[in-house]
Amino acid sequence: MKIAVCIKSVPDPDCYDKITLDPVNKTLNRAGIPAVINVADKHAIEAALQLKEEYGGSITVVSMGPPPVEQQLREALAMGADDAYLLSDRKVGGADTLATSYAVSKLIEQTGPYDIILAGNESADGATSHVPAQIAEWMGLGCICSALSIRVEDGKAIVTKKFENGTGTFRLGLPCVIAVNQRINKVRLTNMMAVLKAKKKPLTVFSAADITGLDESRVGLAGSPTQNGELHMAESTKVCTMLEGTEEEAAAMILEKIKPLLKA
Amino acid sequence: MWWMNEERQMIAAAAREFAEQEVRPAAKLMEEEEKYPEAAIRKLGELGMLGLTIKEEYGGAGADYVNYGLMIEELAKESHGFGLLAYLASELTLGLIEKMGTPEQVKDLIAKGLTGEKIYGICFTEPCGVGNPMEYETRAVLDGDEWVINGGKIFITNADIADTFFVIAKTSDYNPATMTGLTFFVVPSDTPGLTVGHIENKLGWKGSHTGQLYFKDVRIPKDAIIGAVDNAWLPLNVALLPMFATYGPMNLGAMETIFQKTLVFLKSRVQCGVSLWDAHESIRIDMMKMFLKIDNYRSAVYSALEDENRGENISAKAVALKMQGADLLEEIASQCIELHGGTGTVYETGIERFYRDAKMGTVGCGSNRTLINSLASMIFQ
Ligand SMILES: Cc1cc2nc3c(=O)[nH]c(=O)nc-3n(C[C@H](O)[C@H](O)[C@H](O)COP(=O)(O)OP(=O)(O)OC[C@H]3O[C@@H](n4cnc5c(N)ncnc54)[C@H](O)[C@@H]3O)c2cc1C
Repeated sequence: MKIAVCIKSVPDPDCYDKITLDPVNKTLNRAGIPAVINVADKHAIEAALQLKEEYGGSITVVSMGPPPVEQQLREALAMGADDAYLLSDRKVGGADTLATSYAVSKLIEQTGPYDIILAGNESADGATSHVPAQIAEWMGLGCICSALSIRVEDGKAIVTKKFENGTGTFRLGLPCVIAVNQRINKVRLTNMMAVLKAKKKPLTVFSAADITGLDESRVGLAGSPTQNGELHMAESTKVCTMLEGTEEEAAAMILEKIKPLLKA
Repeated sequence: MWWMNEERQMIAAAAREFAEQEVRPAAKLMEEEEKYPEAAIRKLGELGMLGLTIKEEYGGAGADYVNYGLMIEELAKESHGFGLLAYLASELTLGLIEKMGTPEQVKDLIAKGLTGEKIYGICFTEPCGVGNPMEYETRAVLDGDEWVINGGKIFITNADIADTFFVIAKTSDYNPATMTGLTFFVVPSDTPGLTVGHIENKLGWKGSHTGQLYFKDVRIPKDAIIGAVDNAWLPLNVALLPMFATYGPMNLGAMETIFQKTLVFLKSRVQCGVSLWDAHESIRIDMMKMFLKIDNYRSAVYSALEDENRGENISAKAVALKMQGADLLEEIASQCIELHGGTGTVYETGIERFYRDAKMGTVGCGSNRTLINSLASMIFQ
């Protein structure tokens, strides 16, 4: 089984308190913030590893982004993927989810065909959850988001998906796109030998011109109907009130405060 | 930092992940129940983290010493004592066999050590003092095709854990001029006549089991020796001393944790509306001085490990790193406890245990006062 995993490089969520907004360009100031593989995408890689262990085959990781994203692709190779492709070109930069999904779908078509295309359900920075479903749409494939388990039976993917109030199980024809929920698995710890071997695994960087049939009017800023509006830092308006007096008095004051909320 | 590259960043990140997921809970049990972190040590083996520098042809990862240092640094950020145990289960013991073992020993002992299937211990110290081989009482005598060992060892790490010990014993009278008369033996822990005595209740390095071993007519095959008869100092010099450099990243990881915790505390502890950090210039100066000392130590650690990569003899540097690092860790832990006030002395804050471990580092595996003498003779003679 040939599996592709779409990964996104995002600013390390542990450093979000250090990210500031650029009010003029309406972008995030990411200088000095390390990039990491989006957490949900790590779960997609783990799901791919488990599928490969079960059914055999190969795992290819794909990403679109600036050249430093090679580092996150190397990490994916260290986690156990077999090869990696990066689409990196100024022309594809500044893309919204529509333009991103178009470019990534073209990268997948170029390097495929694949039986299953996996992705994380949402990114830690944008968090729209648009891209996986849009990739499926561009490629004319079936798609399930928020997957909690995946197995393959009689050439079909059996996928359990999370709903707001429960789960449902679907049967999809292959190839298909599956975006995984972070609860699908526990990502295994990385083997040091695999880290050292990762540098020898193939990683190919494509420019826009390398992608056959890429419609340049659909990529990058030009291909993005979404434009950023105003950006504001979230203001914390919570205040902490210190209650004076004995424990009993303080308890009584807390009760007074929460009583109206209980009635509502 | 000049020694970092893409691969090393990945090694450090993988080790950090391991430390957070596996060492953190194990360290709690080490501290609170004196529990040896067996599962975590074996898991290191499963993940290729034991014997990272061992040659690929022997089944190791063939990584360089900087990669190894980065891994130890990350492990020690969670627990200095765990760093020590990982070192003992990997480069110290496996490195000894890699550099000095026979092909059979390499095949048997390294393969089982790499996976964590077998854990080893090293036995020098005797009641007369570790640096006093003249008076060592453990002796081995050849009887036909077997060595017969009698005597005892004290302060042996992994005393009741190790599957096999590498034991120094007298095979003839010790000659201080030529440093001959001692031989390194390979003794499986289940050999009849070998018994484990008292396990010490120590100040720090909790969860590492340090204890006594008794040898009563312990018989091992004639070829169960490392290096040559009467010449244990060669393996010591070639394999064990340079690996003292491991104390470098071990101490460094511990210092980094304490420093970071203290920085976060000082910025968040607010009195009269101002954080301790903002309120007191003296505190900022103290922190800056500590930062610079840690930064200098870090450079010294990785430059020594890079020298080791180039095949230079780093024994003197390694001993210096052990000595200076133990003192610096103690100083930093002490100051950071003071900067925390009362909470610094509380176990749950997670600083005082590094202070206790720092003190262990000034004595265990060669005390600072002794090492400074050895260092002087290594450098000036
Ligand atoms: C937790 C722990 C784990 C250990 N693990 C092991 C192990 O796995 N294997 C092993 O073989 N040993 C081990 N040891 C033993 C350790 O190496 C010795 O305890 C240490 O080197 C000090 O030696 P000693 O206890 O014999 O001190 P002593 O020789 O009794 O000396 C006492 C003190 O006198 C001073 N002193 C002694 N000699 C000199 C000198 N030449 N110059 C200046 N000052 C001197 C020093 O201050 C020294 O600390 C361990 C010890 C500890 C505490």
